[in-house]
Amino acid sequence: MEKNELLNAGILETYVLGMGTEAEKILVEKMSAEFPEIQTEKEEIEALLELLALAYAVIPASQAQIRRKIENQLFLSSEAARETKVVPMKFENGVNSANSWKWLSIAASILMLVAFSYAFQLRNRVDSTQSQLAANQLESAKLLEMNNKLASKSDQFSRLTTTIGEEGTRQVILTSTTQQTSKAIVFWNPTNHKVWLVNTNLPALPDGKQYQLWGIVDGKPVDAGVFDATSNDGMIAVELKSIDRPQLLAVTVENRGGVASPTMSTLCLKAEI
Amino acid sequence: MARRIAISEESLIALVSSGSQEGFRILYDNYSAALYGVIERIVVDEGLAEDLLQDAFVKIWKNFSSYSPEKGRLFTWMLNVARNISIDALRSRHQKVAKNIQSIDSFVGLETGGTNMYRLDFIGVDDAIKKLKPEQLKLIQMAYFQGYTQEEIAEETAIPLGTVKTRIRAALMVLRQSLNN
Repeated sequence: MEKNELLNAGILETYVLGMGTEAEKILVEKMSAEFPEIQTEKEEIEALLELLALAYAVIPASQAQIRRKIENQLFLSSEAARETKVVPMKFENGVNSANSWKWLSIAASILMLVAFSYAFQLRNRVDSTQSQLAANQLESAKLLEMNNKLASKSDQFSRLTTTIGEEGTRQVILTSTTQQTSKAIVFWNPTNHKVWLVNTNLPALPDGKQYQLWGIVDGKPVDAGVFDATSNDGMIAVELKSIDRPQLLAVTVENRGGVASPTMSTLCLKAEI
Repeated sequence: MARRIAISEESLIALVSSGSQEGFRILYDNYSAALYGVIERIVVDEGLAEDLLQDAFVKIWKNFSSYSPEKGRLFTWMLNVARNISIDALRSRHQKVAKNIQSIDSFVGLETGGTNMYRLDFIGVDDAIKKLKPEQLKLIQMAYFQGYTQEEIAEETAIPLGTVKTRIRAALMVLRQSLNN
């Protein structure tokens, strides 16, 4: 097969994706050993697929626990699996007289005592090591959880800062439609349509309800996403769905998850743009 | 884990080959989320995906000697281990991979990024993905994130088998070009 044919047929791509046939696999391995440009092309495809996987990575909910489980399986089992040697007992003729049994039983008792006290000490040591280990694991799981939370927060804030810092981003203050003092601040960028809801003093809602932001574009309401009144730490910064050139922003109270069109009777905040 | 530990592929391979627990940790911390993302999209079941992630790492660790750097990148090899484990798991449950059609529609990860914490480093990838035509995006999802075989893709999309490969190549070329700009 021609070099160019191999490059253009998509065989390298399917090879890297692990979808190639056995014949294609042999061909790719042979040709990439022979031609540096095929090798380079293959490496670029690999790098691209790695980048994609990293970009769309998902952190498993119990990432730390899974790691611990694997570590227990891979690194602790080798000691436990150490072989126990069994030595068969041999009795010689004539030694099984009453006297030798007596000595044997005394020796056995002493051995047993020694063994018991040794086992007891060992047991204590294992216990304290295990509780130390458990404490350390708990501590590191807590730190990890905290670290993950902070990382996600910091990620969120840097994205928010990016939007705020972008040219043209506008601050829109939504105020209450009734006499209440409720309000919310929205940052909206007319160029990339990004929407951030930053701060609100809206009252907490009953279970099953959420606030929903709407952009009124050419007289039609466009869903911009849902949010809760407060986050756990009292500060809200939520990235909502993009909206294209709204003339009006409005907030209604809807069932959790949001609805397709706004319930006008629950309109609580609005602002003209 | 929010940040990956910076280490060259050669050093990591050397560390893992030596059997060091530290090597395992770096391998896991750096790649578990990337592998999990793919596994979870193939099996569409969180609990199963977590079990399979564990199986995949155990297998990667135990079979590390069968990885040879001259044949390709470490991640490509690990990914194939993880994908094969996931596809085998579905097959053993008599669930055809091709039946997971609902996961294409619910596959919002590629558009929104899901629950990834190092998203910030990959904003360029989002922009590149947006340049794909919907049918190209679907093809990448099926081939890469959902573990379809070429035959299954051909059957599912009614595209001839030979064309599946060239279309996958075309889609990946779009991504490469927009990422190189």
